[in-house]
Amino acid sequence: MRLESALKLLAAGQFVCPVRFPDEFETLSSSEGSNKAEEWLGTIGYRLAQLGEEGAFFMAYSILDGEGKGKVREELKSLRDRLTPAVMFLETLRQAQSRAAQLQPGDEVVHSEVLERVRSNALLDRRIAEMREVHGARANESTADRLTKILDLLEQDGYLTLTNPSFKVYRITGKISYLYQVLAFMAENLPEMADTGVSDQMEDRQAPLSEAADDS
Amino acid sequence: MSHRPIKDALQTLQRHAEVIEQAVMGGTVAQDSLPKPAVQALRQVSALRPAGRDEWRLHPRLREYLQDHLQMFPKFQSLTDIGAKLNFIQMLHSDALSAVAERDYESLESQQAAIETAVFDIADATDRNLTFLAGMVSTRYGDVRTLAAKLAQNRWYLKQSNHLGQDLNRLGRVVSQVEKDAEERGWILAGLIRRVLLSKVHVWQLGLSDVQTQIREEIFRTRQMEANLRNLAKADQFLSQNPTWRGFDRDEDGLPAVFLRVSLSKLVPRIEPTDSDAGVRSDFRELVNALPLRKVMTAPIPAPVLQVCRSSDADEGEHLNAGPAALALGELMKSILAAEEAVSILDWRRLNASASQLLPGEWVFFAATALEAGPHRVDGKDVEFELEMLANPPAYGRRYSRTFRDARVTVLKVVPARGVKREAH
Repeated sequence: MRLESALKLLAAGQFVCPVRFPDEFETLSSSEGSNKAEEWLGTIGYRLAQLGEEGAFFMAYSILDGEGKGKVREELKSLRDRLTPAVMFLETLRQAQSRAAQLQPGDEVVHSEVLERVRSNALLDRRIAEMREVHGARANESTADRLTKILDLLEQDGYLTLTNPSFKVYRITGKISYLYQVLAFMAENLPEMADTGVSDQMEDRQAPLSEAADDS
Repeated sequence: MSHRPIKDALQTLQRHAEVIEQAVMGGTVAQDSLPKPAVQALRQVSALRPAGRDEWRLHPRLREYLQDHLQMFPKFQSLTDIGAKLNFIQMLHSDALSAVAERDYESLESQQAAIETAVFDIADATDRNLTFLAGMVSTRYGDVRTLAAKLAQNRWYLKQSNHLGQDLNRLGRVVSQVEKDAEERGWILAGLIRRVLLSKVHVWQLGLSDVQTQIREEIFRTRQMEANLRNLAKADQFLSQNPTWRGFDRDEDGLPAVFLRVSLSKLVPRIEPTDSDAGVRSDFRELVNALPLRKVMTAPIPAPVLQVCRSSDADEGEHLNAGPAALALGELMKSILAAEEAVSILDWRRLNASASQLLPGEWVFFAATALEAGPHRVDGKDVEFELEMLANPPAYGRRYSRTFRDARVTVLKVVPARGVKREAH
């Protein structure tokens, strides 16, 4: 029964992690469960993949056919639309948590704690107020309401799971590792995101100056 | 040998346990915060030592004992140094060999006893160090709030474990030599060293190696976390500074597995046919052909529409083709003028036959709009009315209401008529 549920989640494109789907994750972690899942997915041209050694399971193409290649290219082309809200919202949480930020699967995010830190930080408060990615947000709504919407959107997107509705306590799911891997890929392939990007730009700007000095 | 001093010291500690607790938990305690007799008593048994001018601190060994016993470890706990004890054993061993040469058996006995104590101390300290390290690593050093602190702890304990590893290697060499010399001379010490230290050195080294591996993995994980958060911040900055960037235009070679994720679309049964369905078009043609011919329609003659005009807008002498609403309005104005209190438009409707012909909502809206648009000529006077709208409660989830259910009307101003205006009916 758990395997059936796990397979349905995989087919729906979900990340089966121990935080959000503990039973299904346990099933897929067992050798019997993973073998059966591999067998079932293999017959329809897919495979069971995992984010790291202990990370979330997901369904991936076994071999990329023409249709699969098209979908992957399309996903690469529209990466901005897929990533922007999650990146903006999670970066807001990171800034709110300041030096304590870890944003790892299983970490707790408490609405009241984040709100307290946002209220004590004018820049962060403004960032949240000006965030256009919050669907359904009204111009005059409070920071608390907007933060609630942000956390709800992250939950809908599968990055958070609500563990205590009364106190609005969320836990970060294993899907965040997916985001980190995509961001690492971006950092490797976009010069603007590389660690050396800033210094390179500075050197480029300084080059004409040095040339001018030589000329003089 | 009398044990009285030991008992006295322990009893003093027991009597002033609260002060000791305070000193353990707080590191140091202010002199003002402690009762003088307690300080004197604890100073007598050397349990308290001065820390600066105004504070006391606990004897370090007493603190170590309590922390060890209660498993309370600071964030950067030093491992118990076994290197010094090894030096001590080496020195005693050398002295013992000299004592044998000089036939000084009394010294030899005391040196062997001291070596025995040091052997047990080293075994205890090594066990405790490894247990402590394994505990810290398995709990990832407990409640550390920041990544930087975690990294600092990782580095601290890796350094400590490396130091312990070097000591264990030296331990093997030093005690092997002591055990060999003791064995040659037939000392009981040789068996003790084999049992307490040599048989365990290899196990300790393996345990330490496991701990070091875990610490290195933890360092890698922590650095990975740092890199993830750095990428998140950089991506946020990049996306906001490059609004035209949509994504990568490249082929799928060399992509990480995360990009190969599949999400199957949900199968939704479509019961209702749509216009684009192939089978529907022919059906549509048949239906259109089967329709009757279009009839030529004549426009209906419009029914006379009740028009409500402000009396000031109407031409002089022209009379409104008064319907029940206009009649009722005229009577309402007269009633309001005569009344001493505010008149409810809705309540008044129940008493009036003309107004009752209209639906309550229609009447209230009509009368309120008309009265608001004053002044009106009533009984030869120009009258302005004041309306108090009685709003409906706001809809669920709304703060304000934009509809009203009734209006209470009073006379605002009465001015004797100057010109000729249409009278209210």
